[in-house]
Amino acid sequence: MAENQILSAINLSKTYHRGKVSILALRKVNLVVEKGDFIAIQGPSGSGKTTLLNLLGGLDTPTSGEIWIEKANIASMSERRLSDVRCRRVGFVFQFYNLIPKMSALDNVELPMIFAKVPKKQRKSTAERLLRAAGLEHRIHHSPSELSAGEQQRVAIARALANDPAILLMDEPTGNLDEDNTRHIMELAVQLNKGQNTTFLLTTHNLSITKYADKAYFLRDGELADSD
Amino acid sequence: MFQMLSLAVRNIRRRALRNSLTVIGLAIFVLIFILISSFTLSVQSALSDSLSDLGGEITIWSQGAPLPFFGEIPENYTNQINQIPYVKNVSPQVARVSTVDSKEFRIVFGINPSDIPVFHTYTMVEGIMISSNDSKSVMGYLFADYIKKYVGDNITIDGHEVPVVGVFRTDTWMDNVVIIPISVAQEIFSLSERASIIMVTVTDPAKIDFVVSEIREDLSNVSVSKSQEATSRIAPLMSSVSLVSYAFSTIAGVACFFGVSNVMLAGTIERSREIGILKAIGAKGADVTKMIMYESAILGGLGGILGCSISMMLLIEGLLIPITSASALRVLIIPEIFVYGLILSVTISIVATLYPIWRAVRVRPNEVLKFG
Repeated sequence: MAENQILSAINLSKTYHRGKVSILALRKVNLVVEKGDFIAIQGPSGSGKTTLLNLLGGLDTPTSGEIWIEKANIASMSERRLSDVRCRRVGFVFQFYNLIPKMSALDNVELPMIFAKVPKKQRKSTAERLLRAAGLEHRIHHSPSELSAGEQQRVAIARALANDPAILLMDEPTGNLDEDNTRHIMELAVQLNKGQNTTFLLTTHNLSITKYADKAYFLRDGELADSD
Repeated sequence: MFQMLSLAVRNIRRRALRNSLTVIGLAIFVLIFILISSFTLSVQSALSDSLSDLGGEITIWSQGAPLPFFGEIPENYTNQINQIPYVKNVSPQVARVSTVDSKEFRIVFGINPSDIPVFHTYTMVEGIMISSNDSKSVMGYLFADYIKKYVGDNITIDGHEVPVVGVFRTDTWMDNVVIIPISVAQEIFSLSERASIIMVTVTDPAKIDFVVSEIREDLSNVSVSKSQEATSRIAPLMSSVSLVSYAFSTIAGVACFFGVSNVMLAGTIERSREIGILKAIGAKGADVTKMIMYESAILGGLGGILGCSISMMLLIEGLLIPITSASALRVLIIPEIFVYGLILSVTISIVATLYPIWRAVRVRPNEVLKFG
């Protein structure tokens, strides 16, 4: 694995079994992500985007193939070690934000650091810094229900960055947002990518989102191809 | 540890109503446990005291009777006992639970008037102690105050009217009984030439064991023991009382266990998505286990503290429960029971959470999170 490679998938396949029916969700996907990349994977609904991100982020295990995050093949890792990968090496951003309700924005951002056993004082200052960077300094004590959809997604991005992960995996990050909020979120991602060299890999069904990315791929029926 | 603890505290605060109800449920269990256990130990203590307050150094009553109030032995055993060397005094006594003035059941003692100063230490509050076999009675001052009958009044024992000639005080449970001459008691309770119990004193304390073994040899169908050891003879009765109390506590505990388990399981299922999120952002199975375990321990602790506090308030106020001794029994405050109550509350809460924890740890984030 090259020095600046953050993530690579080699011949990654995933088959789901529903009774006697087998569904091939991903077919021998190969992908390399380097430090500072901003990669978009576009594809229609049901193309396997979520499955691919689940595998790359250690939320699911592949049927075959390898997934290297930095120097570790997570395809064959135990659940305990995968938790560590999810905690420290990968940041997730979901379409529906998945913030913990009734917890403030600050508490939500602090959560991954609790699991990484970061001391309380440092947790708080890091969470405040990340929320400031996301333009939410005036909303840190608000609960998700008191935030707009765009603000919730910014909190989710701040949370994903909490433990300084090697890569941010964003699954349809703008899928639930209006045009203005979509633009704000993507500008924030670009700003983090260019300003702090944060590595992004996002999936979207929206072709217009790919314009923010350095590289774009197209996923159809579980097969990954360069976007034309 | 402190991070997970603070997370558990936050989770509890987020579901204030449900968790408050869980705490109240645990508190009710602790309350039941403490009150039942305290009541049981208080009853046992009162029974032990009542036996040691009967006076004498050797106690004899009918073999198989759980308490003197339920047995009968021939009064003429006293003659045989008097023949035994080192025996100083022999006092046959009748003890019966009876209605007095149609009130609740009370203990009535029939004693030879001449034996009273030998076997009991008392002071007269009013009037005089009975001194003949005439149909007269004396009452403990607590009972006299209870039925508002004093010297000069008549009381009705099992339908027989008996004048009151004195009110005494012993500072023992005897302050709640009525004493009448044994011959009158035998007539009222149809116990001609029979007694419930025979108390014996000896001339030389070193010879008690000898006298006990001699009585055992001479008399059949009686239970003979040193008065100090008499409490051991009511062990079966105490065991029965304990068994009933433990049965009630266990039922309350089991009900509480399923209640807490149900609440925690419902909470876990409801929080599946949330647990999935936590796992997706790095929580290990051990983190989820610790988090829920701390939650249940805190709830158990709070329930225990609340239950102990309410129990303490009730017992400090003076919880009085009427039992067979002639007045209400004041339930004792026994610190160990409070500690056990607290430990039980936390234990039940934690054990009741094991299955919900198992369910929570098995939550797979990719299965509960919808990515769109």
